[in-house]
Amino acid sequence: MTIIRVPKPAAGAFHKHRPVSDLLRWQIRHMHEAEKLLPHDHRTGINIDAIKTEGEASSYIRKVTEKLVSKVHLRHVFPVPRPQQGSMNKERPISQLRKQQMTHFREIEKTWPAAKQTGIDTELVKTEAEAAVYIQKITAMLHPIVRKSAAGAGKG
Amino acid sequence: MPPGLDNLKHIVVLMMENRSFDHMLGAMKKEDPRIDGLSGSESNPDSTGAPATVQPLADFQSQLDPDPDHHFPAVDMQLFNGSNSTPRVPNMQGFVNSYFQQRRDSDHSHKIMYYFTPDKLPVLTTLATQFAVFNRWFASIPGPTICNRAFAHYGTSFGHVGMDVFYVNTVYSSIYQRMQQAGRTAKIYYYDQASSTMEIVNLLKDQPQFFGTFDQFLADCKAGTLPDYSFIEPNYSDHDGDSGEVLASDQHPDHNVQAGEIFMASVYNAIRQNPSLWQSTALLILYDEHGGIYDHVPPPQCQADGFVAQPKDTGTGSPFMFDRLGLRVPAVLVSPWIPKGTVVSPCNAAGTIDNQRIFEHASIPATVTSFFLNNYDQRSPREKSAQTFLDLLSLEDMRTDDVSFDF
Repeated sequence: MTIIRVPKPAAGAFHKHRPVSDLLRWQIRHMHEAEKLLPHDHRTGINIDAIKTEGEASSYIRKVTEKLVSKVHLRHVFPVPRPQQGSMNKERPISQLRKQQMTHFREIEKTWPAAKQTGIDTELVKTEAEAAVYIQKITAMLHPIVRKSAAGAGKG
Repeated sequence: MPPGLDNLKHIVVLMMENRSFDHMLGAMKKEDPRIDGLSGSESNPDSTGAPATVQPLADFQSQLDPDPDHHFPAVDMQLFNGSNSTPRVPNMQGFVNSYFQQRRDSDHSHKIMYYFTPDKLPVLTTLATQFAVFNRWFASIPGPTICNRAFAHYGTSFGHVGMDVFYVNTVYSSIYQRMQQAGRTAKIYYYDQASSTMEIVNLLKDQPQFFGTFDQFLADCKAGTLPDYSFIEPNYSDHDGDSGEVLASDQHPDHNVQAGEIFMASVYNAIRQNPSLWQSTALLILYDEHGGIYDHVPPPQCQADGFVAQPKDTGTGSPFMFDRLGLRVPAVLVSPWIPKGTVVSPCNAAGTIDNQRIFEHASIPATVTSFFLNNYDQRSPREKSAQTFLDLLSLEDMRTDDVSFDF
């Protein structure tokens, strides 16, 4: 058996500050395209235009590759921020949308016998809370239900 | 038929309120140039003639007050900025001037150009990134809520361009009636009784069987008893609920945008957490109209609807033939059968416009009808010409990655 010795690289051959090659530059671009499809908090936040050296490139490519091959991003729970305290404003003046919604309900109520009507003058309804009370009364008559309000979503 | 369609049993639509595409998703162009968002240099002249440029400064609340005008004459101003050239070509230069009319405050009027960055909207932008986002989904009418929502229910607004009470004719049935008559199931889920529905005089009054609450939607998802077709309405007001204060979740200015994000997440999670529902459901999340907020894409002309709105109704001095769409709105389609990162564009690979990829709210009944009812001829001209979107469920194998939201 003939053994051919293969010389080791010379000491000092390692050069992580070498400028990135065209090949590496393309690899970074491809990595970046793939990274953009990751969830926001799984992205590196690295500006690839600032990558100048092989060391920086390898660091970036390692991070993205880890994310891409990791199963972590395949099973990910995104935190959704809650509105700040004080976001609730029942006294907010009603919007045109809500006002028109009441007009539509009033159109129906007018066709009912007086005893069934709410007695609420919708012209005097000024706030979201007041509008909600009126709309709830009419909806309850049109679509009676016994369930409670939806839990969880949009709570103040 | 692709496996995704073979498996499809449910279509769910969540329609939010009054935000434009650029306002919510425009900043995503920076991350993905395929998304037709903002370059950052778009502007409108303000009341002094100075340019008001788009800015990433949108706030969750207390910024767009008063509610930007989005009735027909105001939208006409936003599109044309007073130009009466023939033919009329939208220049998208009148948003700031339109908003200025409401408070006569030039600085404040610039806020109509503000947009969100993706980190502020983790739910909408994550779904857009993970599934399919539409570059060209337009409101059906350059006008307000009621007439635009009518297109989602009926495929037409029966000639109406405003918010007034109107009664449907007997020619075009709602998608819910069509489904019922064919032995299918369909439901509109409103949030709670204090929020109720916008479909009052024509549906709630006479056909309460089509309605449920959001509480019931959550229960139906858990039990696997969701109807074939579901339409969800968000909470339209801050009010007291059975278990405390409830924030409006519709994102209608000046309601809290984060509450709307949580609502979207709750709809998505409810479907995602039932494995059999997840693989058999397509969820469309979109907005009814732009709410007077800036978008840079001129609405295209479209198939006339066979109705005419008279000048007294349009408020512009001219009739409207229902031959131009409203402004662009955010729209995202979610299903495990959609390739990750799909951007639905009107341009083909060569970069030329392909009108087959332009959608509007009549695309909703058109898609539901096409999938569940096959041939159903008694539909408006607009609905018949509207594009359908289920071809986006194109994967041969269902995705197994798992995105969910914690709130």
